[in-house]
Amino acid sequence: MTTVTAEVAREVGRLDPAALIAAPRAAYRACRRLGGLARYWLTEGVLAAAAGYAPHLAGLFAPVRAREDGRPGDCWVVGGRADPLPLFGPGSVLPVRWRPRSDALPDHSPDLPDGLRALAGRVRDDLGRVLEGRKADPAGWVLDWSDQVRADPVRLAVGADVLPVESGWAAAAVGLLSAVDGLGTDLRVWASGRWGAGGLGEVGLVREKLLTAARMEATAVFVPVWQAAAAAGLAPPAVAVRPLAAPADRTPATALRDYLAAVTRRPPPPDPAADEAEQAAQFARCRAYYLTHPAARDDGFYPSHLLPAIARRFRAAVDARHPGWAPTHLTTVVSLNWAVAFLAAAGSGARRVLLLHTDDPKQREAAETCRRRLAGWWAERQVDGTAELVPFPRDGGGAAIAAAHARFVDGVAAGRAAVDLKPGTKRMTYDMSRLARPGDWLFNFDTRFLPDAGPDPGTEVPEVWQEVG
Amino acid sequence: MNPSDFTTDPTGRLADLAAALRESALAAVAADGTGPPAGAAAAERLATALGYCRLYGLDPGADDGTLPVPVAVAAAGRLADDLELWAAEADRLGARWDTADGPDAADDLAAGLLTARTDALAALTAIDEAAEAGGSAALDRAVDALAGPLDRFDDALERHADILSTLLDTPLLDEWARRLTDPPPWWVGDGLRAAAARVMAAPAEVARPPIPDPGPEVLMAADPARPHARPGVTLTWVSPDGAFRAEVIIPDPVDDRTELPVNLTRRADDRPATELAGKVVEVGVPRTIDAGRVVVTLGDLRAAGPPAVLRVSGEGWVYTPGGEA
Repeated sequence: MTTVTAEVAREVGRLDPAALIAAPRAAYRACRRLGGLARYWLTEGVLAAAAGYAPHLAGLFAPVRAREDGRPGDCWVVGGRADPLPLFGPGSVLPVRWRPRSDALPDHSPDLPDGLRALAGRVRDDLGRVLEGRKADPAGWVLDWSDQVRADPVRLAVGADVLPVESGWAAAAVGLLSAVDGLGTDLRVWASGRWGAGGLGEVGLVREKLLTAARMEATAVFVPVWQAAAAAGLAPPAVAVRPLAAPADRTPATALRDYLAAVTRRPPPPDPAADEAEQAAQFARCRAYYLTHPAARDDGFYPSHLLPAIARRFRAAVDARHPGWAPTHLTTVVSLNWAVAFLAAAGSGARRVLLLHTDDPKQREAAETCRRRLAGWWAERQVDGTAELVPFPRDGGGAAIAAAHARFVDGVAAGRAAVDLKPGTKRMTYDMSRLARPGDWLFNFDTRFLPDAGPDPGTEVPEVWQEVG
Repeated sequence: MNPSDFTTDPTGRLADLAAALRESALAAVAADGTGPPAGAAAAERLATALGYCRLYGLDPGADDGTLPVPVAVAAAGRLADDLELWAAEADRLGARWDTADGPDAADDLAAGLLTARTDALAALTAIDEAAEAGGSAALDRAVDALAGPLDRFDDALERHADILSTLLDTPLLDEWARRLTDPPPWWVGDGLRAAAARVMAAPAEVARPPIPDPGPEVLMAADPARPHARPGVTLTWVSPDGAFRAEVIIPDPVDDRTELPVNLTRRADDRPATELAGKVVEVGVPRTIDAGRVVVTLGDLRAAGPPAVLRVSGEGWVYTPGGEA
């Protein structure tokens, strides 16, 4: 364990980089006095000189640059310096990670500076309601060094005079949310923002932080919205400045929304081969991503990452709520949101599906997509299923729908066909509801809606009732 | 000090004596030589100042005299304590010298200990003078009690004679060589050279490098939880003239096949000792220095002894414990 006191930090920071590069042994010693932080704080030239002195330990001196592959909870707190120390430059990064509290780490790491531990405590308090919404216990998360620093451990015993961390609130807060959501972080996206009784607060040394961001190859830095224009004028070309919102409601969730969406990374789709608990965890990560990334509503994330798992859960829910219900035929309408029809078909367990759609190209394309997805769904389960597409005119299509359905269920015993009432316009729902023969089934599902976030994936509840005619 | 003081007292020792005699804390020394620490410290300063006058052959004039027995007893007691402290510091000289912040600081460490040794000689001279002038049984006991700490201090210094010898030909040691001639003490001039030679010629008597046991043959690359080896033991050898060091940083974990650079650097500025290019380092198989470096393996170091004296083209570089990490 290397201990970096304020005196050590100042002493090392005052060293002349050019002199260290010329004297590799001195570079090596300077690096070792900073332990695992040397890779973050020092320039490539100094690190290369140290690695040249001890090539068999070169891994300790490989410069760390901002990368997109941060793990859940990883975040970088950046501090600027009004009077830059020659060796450290205008600012320094503190790479930290939120971890679940454990016996081994019952509180914020004692190896972190006092100021950073205090900040971590405030972040947990400030995000109390946000975490409550995620059913997470704030006290269940503690701040620690990143894995990389832990591998070359260092205790940083410096005060705010050496490395102020107040403006690290935004980075630490989003780090905590990423940990709770289980989402990896893009460490190229930085923020400088502090939080107080009045909400988002002004930050200082913006230019120094932007320069540090450029040196560390960060791509974007979020700053309070009213400082963003000025910051953009100071930013090096490779660093984009983006605004942290200063919402009138003064809630951290709103202030952090865009930054959280920019930092957290898209998770892989749930693996159907994983065990149940793991699948649930994977689905929770995908759900969290979907709810916190508005762009995910339109970029194919839902069908690729959520729909298969939702369909599996939905099918299981149908079995649980309506045991023995086993229609062979299902009639449904495909809207542009083809996933609704897919979910009904997959959830019902029917092997013959009539996909009705209005006769315009976009709807046909959506219906085709639904059919392909159903084919895949059945193939995975080795089910001999077929889906038939039938167009109908947008205006006055009731008769066409009725005719298509009548042909579809011709010869099918009463009680073996079902009609899906979920998709389509109210008129279509009315027309569909009149299709069911006595003994056949009407089918619908309900979904919980989240404020400002739409349907909550995974909350679909099937509803089935029988037409008694 | 004004210019006339300088011409009449170039060493400043007469002024030291005058100042020591004026110290009011001397009055706190009791008749049996006991008293508060300040009194003992003042007594020791007086003994040292008077002893330097004797050693340098200076005439204190009106300040001349023999230490009163109580003052001599108090001075001896204080000197015994100081000798123990200095001995402990001398024991750590190797580590502290090699981790000093630059060559000036390293020189200060060595010079400080030699100055302490000469101060002790001066104080003893004055205390002995008091004992021979009549003394007392208490003073005899106090003088006898100095033997052990003095031996320990000398032993520790002698073990580091190679380091201390880096001060040879400096103004400090030149001054002592000129003034301390009856007889010259061992830590000055040829005596120190001989002691340094003994250290370098008798590797069995100096600390031997601690070579760690090798780890498993399959090194950490297969263990993603430990992607990097970290520095373990650092071994350092210093050239006889003190100008260069050879340093090898043994990682943890390590195996016998890991290639370890032996970096040869100038102590003055930490830069590679390019002037040693072409010289041969003997650790098992001789290796020629290139760009201030040779490469060995842990197996080489283990097979070689490990070397308490590193041979560089025939010259013995002495291992100094406490190499930097």
